Amino acid sequence: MNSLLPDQVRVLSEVLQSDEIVIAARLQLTRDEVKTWIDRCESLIKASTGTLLGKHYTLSLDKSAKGSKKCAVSHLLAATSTQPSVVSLDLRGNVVATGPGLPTLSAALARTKQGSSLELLIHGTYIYVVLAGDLIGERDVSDQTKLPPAGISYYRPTRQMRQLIRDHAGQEIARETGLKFWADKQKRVLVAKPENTERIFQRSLLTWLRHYVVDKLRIYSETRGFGQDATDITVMTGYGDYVVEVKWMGENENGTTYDGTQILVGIKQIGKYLDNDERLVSGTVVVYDARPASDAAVDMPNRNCMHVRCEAPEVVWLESETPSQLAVSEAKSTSKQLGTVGKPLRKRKAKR
Amino acid sequence: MSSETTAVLVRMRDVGLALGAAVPYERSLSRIQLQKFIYLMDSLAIIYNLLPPSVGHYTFLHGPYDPSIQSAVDSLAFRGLARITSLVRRANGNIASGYSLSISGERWALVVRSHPVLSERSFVAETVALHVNRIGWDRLVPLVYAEPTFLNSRPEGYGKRLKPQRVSLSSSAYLLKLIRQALPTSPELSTRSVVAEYYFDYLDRYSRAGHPTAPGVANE
Repeated sequence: MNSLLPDQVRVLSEVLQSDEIVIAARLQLTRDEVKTWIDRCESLIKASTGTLLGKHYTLSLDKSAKGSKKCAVSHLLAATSTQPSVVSLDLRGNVVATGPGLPTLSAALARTKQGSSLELLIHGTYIYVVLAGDLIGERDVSDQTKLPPAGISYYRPTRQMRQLIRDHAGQEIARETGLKFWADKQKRVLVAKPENTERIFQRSLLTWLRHYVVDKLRIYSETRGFGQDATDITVMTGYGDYVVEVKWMGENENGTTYDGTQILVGIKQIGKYLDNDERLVSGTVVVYDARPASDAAVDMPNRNCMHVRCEAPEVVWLESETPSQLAVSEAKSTSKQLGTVGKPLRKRKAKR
Repeated sequence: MSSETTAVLVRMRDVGLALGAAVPYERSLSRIQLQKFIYLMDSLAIIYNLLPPSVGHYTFLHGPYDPSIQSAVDSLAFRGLARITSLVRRANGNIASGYSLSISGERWALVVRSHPVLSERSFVAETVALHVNRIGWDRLVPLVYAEPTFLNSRPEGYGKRLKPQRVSLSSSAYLLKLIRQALPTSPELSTRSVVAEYYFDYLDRYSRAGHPTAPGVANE
């Protein structure tokens, strides 16, 4: 049995991309009227991309009303500045009304079902076409091949604290964005001024957690209350508090040196906090490792040394070599192991 | 009654409906256009839960062809229900002519349309006329050349029986099924007229996309 040819399938999918047939039939408008309205909205969305910076809002068609002022980017900016809004436009793209309205799919489905109307739900440049309680299409107006915005993948609950610390290490520490911690990168010496070395890492991690912990009630640092220890970072959640102790290993510019015992020191501190404060439900230690590569072997303390509610410590290796430097050093060490260092390459036999 | 007579009688009804559907647009249909118009009616009939005649079009020189249609229109013209206009013999020996309904033919078509059994078939004819008029009457033949059953049967040569209503994977029925599946599930949004509109958009877009049409396509 034959099937449709690839070009037939392609043309069919192109035709089915068009929402205007369904909209025109349902709202008893002509296809040209619908097409013109959607084209106007898409131009507006594209024009406002840079100004609205990915804000979510809704454009709604009010076919029976007539507005007097053409909808411009400034109008959308004003409408979305305080709360998510639904901006109603007439067939010519003039503003009829602006009111509050959630820019979620379920809300748009409910609104359009009630009024048998058309809404464009806009998430940045990605639009959802919702007609009379039905999602009839979705696309990115700037690039048809784009998929819906995936959102930021760093948002996590407190129970994924280790992954939160790893995200922070990967995005902020590894890229050295928003903080400077090397005094001498080549010699692997950490900064100690103007604030102490530990505080540099602590502040950066605190900011990250404040942004990305989804179930937080409050996150604070070294607040000493009555009978409270000065914990490095405490995350308050609805089901108890979580403590993070920040340590570092290596040498700083003041000449202070910490070795691998810092992990154990941190674990002991966590144990003490957990014993002293009944609101603390769990905790962990994060240790930033600036030791030379030759000393960087980590001896993880035995589980018996840890408080029963303390999670395994997280050691973050501070990278001081660029990828190309890393490649060279790795190649050298491999050559050393193979015993080829210093040996000349075998000469090619001369052709007779 | 022989099966041949039955086939012609069935097609007399279809010719009456096709020419009647072209009246609001003040159009007469050529021999080939009439063949194509009725072929599109047969292709679209499935969404109106109608079946085309058991013996219908087959592949021929200028696309899908059903000899019963020509016999039917000649028969209607003989009885004064159809009018033949611009009858000419071309240099290659072919006869070109245009057909439309006479005044008595229009009255007869009205009676046929008003019959409850035939009203759906009449609606199919009106839908085809509506979309052909929207796309352009000169595009009628290219639209049929883009129809998947015919397009996929052409390589098999002349005389191949065409069954656009069969839900094989290369027929109009299959294409219409795909369109229905792609549309919103709400019956208010996926009406038959919406499906038909997508179907004609597909035929139009496919025919314009530079796909090969048969040599010597004519609207005569």
